[in-house]
Amino acid sequence: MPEPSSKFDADHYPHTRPKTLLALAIRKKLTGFELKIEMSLAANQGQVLVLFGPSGSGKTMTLRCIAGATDPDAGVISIGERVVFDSRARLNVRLTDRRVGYLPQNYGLFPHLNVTDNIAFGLFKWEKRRVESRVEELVTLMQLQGLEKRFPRQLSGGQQQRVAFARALAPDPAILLLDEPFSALDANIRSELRDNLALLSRKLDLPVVFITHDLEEAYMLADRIAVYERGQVLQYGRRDDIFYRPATREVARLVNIRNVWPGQVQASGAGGSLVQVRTSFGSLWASHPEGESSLAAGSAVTVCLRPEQANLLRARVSPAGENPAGKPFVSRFRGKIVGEITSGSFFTLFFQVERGRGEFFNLEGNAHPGVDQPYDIELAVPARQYHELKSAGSEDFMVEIEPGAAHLILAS
Amino acid sequence: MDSSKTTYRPDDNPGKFSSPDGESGAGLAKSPVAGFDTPGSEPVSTTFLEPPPATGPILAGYPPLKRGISPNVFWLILSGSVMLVFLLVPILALVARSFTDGALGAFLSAPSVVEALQLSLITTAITVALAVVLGTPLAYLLARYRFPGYGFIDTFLDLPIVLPPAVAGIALLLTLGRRGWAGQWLDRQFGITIGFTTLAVVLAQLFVAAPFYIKAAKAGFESVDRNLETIALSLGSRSFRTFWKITVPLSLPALLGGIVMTWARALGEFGATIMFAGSFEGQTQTMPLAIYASFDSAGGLNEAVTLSVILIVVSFAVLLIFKGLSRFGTRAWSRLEQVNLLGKSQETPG
Repeated sequence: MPEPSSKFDADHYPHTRPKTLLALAIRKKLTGFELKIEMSLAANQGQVLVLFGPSGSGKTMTLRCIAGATDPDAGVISIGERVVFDSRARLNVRLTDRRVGYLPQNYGLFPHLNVTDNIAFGLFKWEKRRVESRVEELVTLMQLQGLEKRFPRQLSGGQQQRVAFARALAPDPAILLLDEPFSALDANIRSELRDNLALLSRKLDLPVVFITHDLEEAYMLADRIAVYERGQVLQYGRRDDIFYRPATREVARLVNIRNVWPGQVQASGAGGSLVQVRTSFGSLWASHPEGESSLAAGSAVTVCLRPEQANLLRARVSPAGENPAGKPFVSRFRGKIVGEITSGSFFTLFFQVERGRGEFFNLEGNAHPGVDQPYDIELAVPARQYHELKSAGSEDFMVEIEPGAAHLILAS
Repeated sequence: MDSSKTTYRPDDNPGKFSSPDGESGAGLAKSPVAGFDTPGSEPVSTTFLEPPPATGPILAGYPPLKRGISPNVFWLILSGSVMLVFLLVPILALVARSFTDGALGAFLSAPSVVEALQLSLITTAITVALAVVLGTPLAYLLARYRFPGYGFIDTFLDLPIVLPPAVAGIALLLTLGRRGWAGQWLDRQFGITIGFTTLAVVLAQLFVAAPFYIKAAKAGFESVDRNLETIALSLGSRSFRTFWKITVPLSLPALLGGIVMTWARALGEFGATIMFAGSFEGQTQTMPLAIYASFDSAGGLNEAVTLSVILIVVSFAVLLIFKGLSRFGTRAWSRLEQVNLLGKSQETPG
């Protein structure tokens, strides 16, 4: 998703500072675990903040702290421009008064109330006629027509979730907090609801904090991603930065960047914006990390490459490593495929770069249980493309890596 | 694989349909291909065969499986009956006796009988009400929070259940009796005497029976998902409303169960009552005490029988009602609440 244009700011917020949707800096200590996070989301940075990370990393606790279901030991939380928790000012707005739409993992529909009463639960102070019209509006929005009198146990997983959404939205919350709302659903219904949520969050103009441990889901929905591990946010930033430009090796591992190669800087090119790095299977060009001083030759780095970012080609006559005309700094490696795994639409291929005489295999950690030979590069190739390439016959392939696709992490 | 024309190869599936010796059932044995052949159908190739249709003539050849009582169930019923007969026969004998002697009619309207029944029903109703009002907060506290001394308190609540009621009677006398340490003070300061009054009956019942409600309510509250309460709170519903609209209806079967247990225990209360409240007709003589008193007096057996039968009938009726309530309770509650919700929202426009 593109960042909202600056026009958006100018129209709605004449102040120089964009409106804050959510800001938190909190600390909470439990036995054997400490949550310590700082992050903020401004209106010009998008609406959907995804907390991504393995289970037990503190995502749910963060969400509960925002909701007010758990109190942090110290810190400050503001939702919109309203401070709801401030340990210095001894301010702690109660859960009841925070105006959050909170959806825990299993939706938590009230089993003894039908759909209408579930949705209307938060509207108890409203006039009867307003309650009725609000419920009707949400039933229409969530496409729950005809199910109003049903009880939660009579609904499918997807319907239950839509009711939970409607109920959370009914009292007009300031923020929507979702804890893995799709985890219990079938794959096909999941993708449908994901699409719905992506649309919904834009439509409602409501900031959303969303927890997931599913990478695809995170990427699909997020404007900003916070990568969690052991109670810390390892990296917080734009979706594509997290996905393609991880800050550390841990983040690279968590966001499933399959190709992580240790290397050494050899030279720089293109006016310092590109760096040539020597890895165990050869040299390749990568982008110079943004905001870092220029790298000296010999400094240790880590190269990251997502499997789908490399091109697979048929090996041509031109020798490996030599750049074709018009494509300077594109790295090419000749070799063979030593293993393949398919999920149907994609092939995961394990590519072994051809070694010159006297060169040794020096593969650090590149092993996959399904592949019995050492490999250098993991690739993800659409099934159709792979079949076409394979039908040409020869065993020899070439992998092409654009400098923009290879991201460098500095070894600290 | 082409799914529209799948071939079925019977050789691949030498499962339960094959009859190697040709003896298991005439219809099955005739078929060269393992049972998928019905009388009158075309002979089929033994090498390839269309898959059996989902419905059709094949099913007609299979009668429904006859299910008799399995030996396990038979023994269960037999041994279960012994217990049931033992529990049932004395009750039935009692009821039968009351009819044959005409005792029921004679004593039914006797003032002492009516008084005892009235006293029992009123005191047990007050006991149950007190147990609910005073026990619910404690049960919720114990269900939702952990604190130092939790295990101690939890165990302490079991004590009245385990102890003989006589112990409870002595304990109450020592505390609230006229010479008990609290009773003495009440007597001196306010001239209030608790021992041997109707209040003492209620207190004796409450002491012995309330833990049954507290235990059941605690288990009921524990079974309600805390997340539901959290969500209700996040929707702006304050603690009390959340408790009333979410926690109570969802734990209602347990609460009703606890109420029944408490009521039953209070109704049968004898030992603590006779020690702490005595047995004064119309004042502290509840049904169990009245039964014992008439049984103890000369020629009072018939009256004792009558009182017993009345107690049986009343108890049975109340238990049945509560069983029905707890079965349909949660749903009925939400229907009731729906009406309430609409009525309330009209009164207080937001």
